[in-house]
Amino acid sequence: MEIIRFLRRMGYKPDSHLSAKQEADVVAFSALIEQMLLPALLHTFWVDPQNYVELIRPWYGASMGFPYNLFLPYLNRRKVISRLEFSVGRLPFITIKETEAQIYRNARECLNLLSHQLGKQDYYFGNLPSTLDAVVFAHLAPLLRAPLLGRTLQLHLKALPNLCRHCSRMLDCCFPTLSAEGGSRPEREQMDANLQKLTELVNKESNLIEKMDGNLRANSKSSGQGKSSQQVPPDISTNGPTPTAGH
Amino acid sequence: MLSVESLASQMAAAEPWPENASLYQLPTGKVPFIHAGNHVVSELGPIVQFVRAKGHSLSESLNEQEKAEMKAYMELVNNSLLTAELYILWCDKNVSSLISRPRYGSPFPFPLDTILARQKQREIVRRMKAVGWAEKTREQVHDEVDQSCRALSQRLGNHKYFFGSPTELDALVFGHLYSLLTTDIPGYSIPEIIRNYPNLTNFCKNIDTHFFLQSNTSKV
Repeated sequence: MEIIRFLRRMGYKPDSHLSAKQEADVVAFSALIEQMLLPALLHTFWVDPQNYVELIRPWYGASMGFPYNLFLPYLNRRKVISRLEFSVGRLPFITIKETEAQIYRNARECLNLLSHQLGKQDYYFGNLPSTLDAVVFAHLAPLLRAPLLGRTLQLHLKALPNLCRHCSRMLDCCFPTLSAEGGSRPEREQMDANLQKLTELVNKESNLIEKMDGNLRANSKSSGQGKSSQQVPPDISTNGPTPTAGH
Repeated sequence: MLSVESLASQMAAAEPWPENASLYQLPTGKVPFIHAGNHVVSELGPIVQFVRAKGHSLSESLNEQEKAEMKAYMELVNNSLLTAELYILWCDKNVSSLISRPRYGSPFPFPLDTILARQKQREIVRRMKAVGWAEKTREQVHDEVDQSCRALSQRLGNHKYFFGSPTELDALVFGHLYSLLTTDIPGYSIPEIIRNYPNLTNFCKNIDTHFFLQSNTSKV
């Protein structure tokens, strides 16, 4: 927001086509997004264990230098958790599960409001994008495009087609190179992730089979001297003593 | 606190107020809270929902779009004006030692007043650090307040209320603006910032005279 204020002071005005009331609406809706949607986004990316461990930590770690990738993601996660504590309520007035449920409820309500406000238009105020379009896009695009594992909020967003179309439109308008290759990258990563999971599954199965096999052999050896020779069918030649009684 | 009082008086003016309902101030925990019969509900948001569940609402006549706008403006007020108030009262060393801590601890006897006041201050400072306001300078805080007042002023325009008839947003805005206008805090010029927007001061005066008939003097 500081950057936006600085640019405004330099004379760049993205909202020159808006009326006074619409400019006020931009400020109000930005505050709404920051208060209601942002905590859930932070939770999805940084606190949800699946997403953090499988996706965010490797992503951020890969782009940082050696010693930083060891602790900076962890520090950021702690900062996010302390921020989320104050966004809804605090212990002992409210439990952690209730906080998370409330955060996601607020986010779903916010997404519904944004979708309702956009309606069938291309942009929020007329035919030209404004600051509000930028703010909405900035919050929704990572949620829409990231290959998340814990996906409740992402699924809710995908169920609002006008917001998805708005994101694609902003992407084409402002980041044309990314939108061309962006379609294939998440799919490739999804395929890699699927392949990795399949390999792990196959490894686990083969380990399990080996273990079972080992158990069976161990069982057969431990009771083998006494009884199991009686069970051996007569057409198999054995080195042990032939059965004198039995069948 | 003032928002809830103004909400209550607006609702009382609009509809019959339920019996056995009373408003309390409590120095610790969540304030204010309303005690109606067997129910105790705290803070403005839940109080509004509780009253709505009982069948009374100030924003029934609004359409969906206006309700969305109202929600957005209420979040704006909570996000900037409320955070600015908390910052000024508790993160500024001068103000907290001169005004906030003595005022907060005043109902209690000696060691408890200092302990509770410092505990509250620590909690608020932690909260400011968590939302990123701890590093803000005085000028940045003034800018934030100015920006929200400008947005509110642009939305209000020349009308008497934000949405034609009084709603929860009017109560909330009145509560915050009136407190900011009538509290003189050394080192901060918040009342001057608000007075730059005459429609906001007229709005406060209007609600004050219309709904708070008991107060004879209006300091606005």
